[in-house]
Amino acid sequence: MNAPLQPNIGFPAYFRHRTVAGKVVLTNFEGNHLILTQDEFREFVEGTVPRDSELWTRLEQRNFLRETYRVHEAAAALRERKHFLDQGPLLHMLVVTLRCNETCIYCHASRANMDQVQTDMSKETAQKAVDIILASTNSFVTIEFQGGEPLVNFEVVKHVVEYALKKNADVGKRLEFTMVSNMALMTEEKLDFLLEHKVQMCTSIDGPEKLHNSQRKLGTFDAFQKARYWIHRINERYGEMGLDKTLYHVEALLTLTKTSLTQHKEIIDTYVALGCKTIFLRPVDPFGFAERTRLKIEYPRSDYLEFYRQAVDYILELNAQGVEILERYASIFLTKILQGTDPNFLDLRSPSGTGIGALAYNYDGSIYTCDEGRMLAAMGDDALKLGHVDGSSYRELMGHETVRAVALASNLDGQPDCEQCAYNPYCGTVPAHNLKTQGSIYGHMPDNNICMVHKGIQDYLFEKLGEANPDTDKAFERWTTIRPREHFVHEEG
Amino acid sequence: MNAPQRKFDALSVSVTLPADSHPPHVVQGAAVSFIDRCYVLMDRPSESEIRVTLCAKEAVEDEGTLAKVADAFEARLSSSDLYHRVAADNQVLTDAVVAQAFGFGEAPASAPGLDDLEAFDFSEDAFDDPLGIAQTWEEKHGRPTPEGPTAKKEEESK
Repeated sequence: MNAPLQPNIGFPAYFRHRTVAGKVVLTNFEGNHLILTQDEFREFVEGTVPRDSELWTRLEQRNFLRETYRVHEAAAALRERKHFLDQGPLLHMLVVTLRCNETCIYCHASRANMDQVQTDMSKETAQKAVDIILASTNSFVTIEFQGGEPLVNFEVVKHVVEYALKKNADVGKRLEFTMVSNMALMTEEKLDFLLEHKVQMCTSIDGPEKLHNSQRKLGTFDAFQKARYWIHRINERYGEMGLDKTLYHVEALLTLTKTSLTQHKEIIDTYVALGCKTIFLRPVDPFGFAERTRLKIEYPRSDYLEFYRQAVDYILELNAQGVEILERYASIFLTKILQGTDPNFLDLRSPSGTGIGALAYNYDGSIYTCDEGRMLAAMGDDALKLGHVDGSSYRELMGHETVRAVALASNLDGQPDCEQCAYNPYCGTVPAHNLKTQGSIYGHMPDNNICMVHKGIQDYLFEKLGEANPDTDKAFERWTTIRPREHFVHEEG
Repeated sequence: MNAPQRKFDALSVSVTLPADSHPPHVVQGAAVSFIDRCYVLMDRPSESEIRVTLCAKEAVEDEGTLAKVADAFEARLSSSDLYHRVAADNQVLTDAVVAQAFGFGEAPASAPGLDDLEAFDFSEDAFDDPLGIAQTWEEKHGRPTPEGPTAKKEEESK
């Protein structure tokens, strides 16, 4: 057994640490990292690092030494990491209807049958939502059409796009539209409108045809075939428009169920075959389905993490063969770890994007801090409801006590376990998830599912970084390269 | 007593520490990280001691399993102690970093200008606090201010 550490307080600058695969991951106040051997860590903590050593140089360069700590450089780095703090809501989710033509095994509370026309958003409500959206202090806003299935209420989608563009001519924001659709109700006419107005389209693919169709049920039993057809068709149209296909193509969202966990290769191969360059291996959310369903589709997060490791290992194998695909969770973390900036993924930042980074507008005009807040309300808990398009001003929404509470609760520096976690600079917590699963927007991290997932993924990534394999490092570097899709941005002036 | 003392029973292990060995928030920080696998009780059996009792949530086969839990707790405590000592030692620097990053930095280009502020609605109180978020727990719930162990003991002896 090693002798206890004899810390030389005064030698190290502020740091956090975590042991991963026998090595020690160090992070500092502004988010730089180093991976040390146990012996190097001991030298660092005990202050016995020789000045002319390679270790001293590494520590000094990454600002881990008290004696040479560069405050100005650290402040600039911290400001870059938290660039989103003074911006205001970027993402505005518009639930234009709850009606959906597909019945998914994991989705109940956030959908309605096709005859429930009362769950369609009216043009008047949509217009009021757009007025609030364009009042955001953020100079860049994204309006995301959600459902239900947004193509069911396409008239309102069209109205929102046209009204927002018209109003934005005076407001002058950078404006973007996205739509999450199962594509089954797509037509050439609708597609013409969406392409003409630069609406970015995204669909849902759960994996190979058999798996997808067993989880996402369409009356005609061909949910996968329809999605595949329109993915190819839209990509073809992008090509006809002269857009770079490596950048402009339809991406898909994945819902991982218990059945999916045995099929990592099949799922990834399906995404590659569909021309997707990104796959987001997120575990299933606890929102919107009944307890009976939960038992059927949920799984322990340790099983998920095993799946995740195998899946990303496989993606790296494909990358080595020249296949271009990346895992989105890893890409977000790696951008923070390797590039020192924050890609502003709202569930993975501190404080979270709940409220201060995003707002969700339900079909009836109710406004929530996030889409999960809307789903919680559908399950009987309206704790995350902020107001209504009738009567709520942007200022009232942003100053709402719930927005303040979730911002405080999701600040990792105020979370007992997160405060000293080595992954603090790269991580985030989700107040709605904490509320649903642990009864409090703060949650308690030691037995929090999202915390376990985030730690597990970062353990995997630092393990890989610690191996110093040039192929992996090259792939990871590429995964952090953000190429903005400027074609989809409407810009005035 | 200087080293932590362990006491086992069928389901739990108690680790008793000298009260002056670590600040209570450091012990609490280490103890709270065990709530995923243990029921955790932190108390003060005497003025000079802090005790953390870790009771396994799942059945344990032998004392060896509980000993591993105690080892893990002591390792965590040591790590937590190191973190807090380094953080305290560097607080002036980290405060300076935060101040430079957010307090005295240049306003971003997207920040409102004077013309925007002229039209801004200042009629509402930006600092109203209807949920009492800024209040202490004691103020909010009308609870008495907590007393230190010494004061409590004096009270009891009256």
